[in-house]
Amino acid sequence: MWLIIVLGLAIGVIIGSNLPLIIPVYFAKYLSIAILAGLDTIFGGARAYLDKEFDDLVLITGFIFNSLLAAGLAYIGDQLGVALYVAAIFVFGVRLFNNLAIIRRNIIKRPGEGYAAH
Amino acid sequence: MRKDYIAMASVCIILGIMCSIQFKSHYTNVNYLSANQWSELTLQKDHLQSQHDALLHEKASLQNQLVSTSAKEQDMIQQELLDKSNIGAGLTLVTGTGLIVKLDNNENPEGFTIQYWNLAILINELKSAGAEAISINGQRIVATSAVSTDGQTIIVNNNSINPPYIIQSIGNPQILESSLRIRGGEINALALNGIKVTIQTSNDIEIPAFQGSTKYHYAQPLDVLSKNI
Repeated sequence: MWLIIVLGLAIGVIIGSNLPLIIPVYFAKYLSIAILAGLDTIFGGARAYLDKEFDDLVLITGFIFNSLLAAGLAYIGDQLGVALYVAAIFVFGVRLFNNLAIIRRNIIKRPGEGYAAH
Repeated sequence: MRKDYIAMASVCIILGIMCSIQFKSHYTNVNYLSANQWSELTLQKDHLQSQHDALLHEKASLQNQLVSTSAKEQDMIQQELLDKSNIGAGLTLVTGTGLIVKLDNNENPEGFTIQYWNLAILINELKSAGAEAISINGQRIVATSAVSTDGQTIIVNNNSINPPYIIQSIGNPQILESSLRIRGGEINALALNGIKVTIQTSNDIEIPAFQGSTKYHYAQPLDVLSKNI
């Protein structure tokens, strides 16, 4: 799974750098928050995989939904003059770290599955 | 399980694309500012711009003041110099207090007639009495003026003149008259020789400008300051 993740990201970066696509400067903020949401979804998917709970539909829908939600929240926040994107950063950042922590624990636990689980 | 991998792979690919696009956009737009910076800097820029305009205005008006005063002063100085030069050069009509001397020959044609040197000496006497402008029969006497004769008539400024000779001079009337009337002076000698002499002071003499050519073929102005010592 890790290989798929890394390869997928690498291929995506290569494709993207060859695409003649430049985002106007005022979209950059929204795109960056969407990237954060996508990253969180992927790591959530990795965690679900390690927890044997992986559902591809959850992953895909989660990815699209979260990205759009995050970008939308940032946009609405700009319209209202309130920095709502901070909420998105906060939430996705917390989830990211949580997922990474669970993944880490899973990886550490897995080799030692032979030992007594605590 | 295979679809799981496909799902994960596609999501990762999409995320990779987004990342690289973001990266590219950020680095090509890196000269741009964030919205906050932009509005703040725009405000600052407007403020500085208005300050700058105000200062330019001030500078222009101060410069105008400076130029106008010095130009005026310069003009005055130039004008004074010009007036002085014109009077001395005899190139302009001048007016002032002075003396009118009228000389006429005797009815007797065999007697003494006024000669050119009489006029020349008279002019000299007037000058030494402080005359600032002199004319004979309307001919302005300037530095290059000569009083001569062609044998028959007197020639002043290359123009022949005929008696009666009217000599106008601008200066202090009393001094001019007393200088002329000195015993042993030219007027005295002429009168003794039977020349009809009339002297009259005036407060309002007009002496015409020099009419001749002012082209100088030989003399050139020399800037003493630039000459190497």
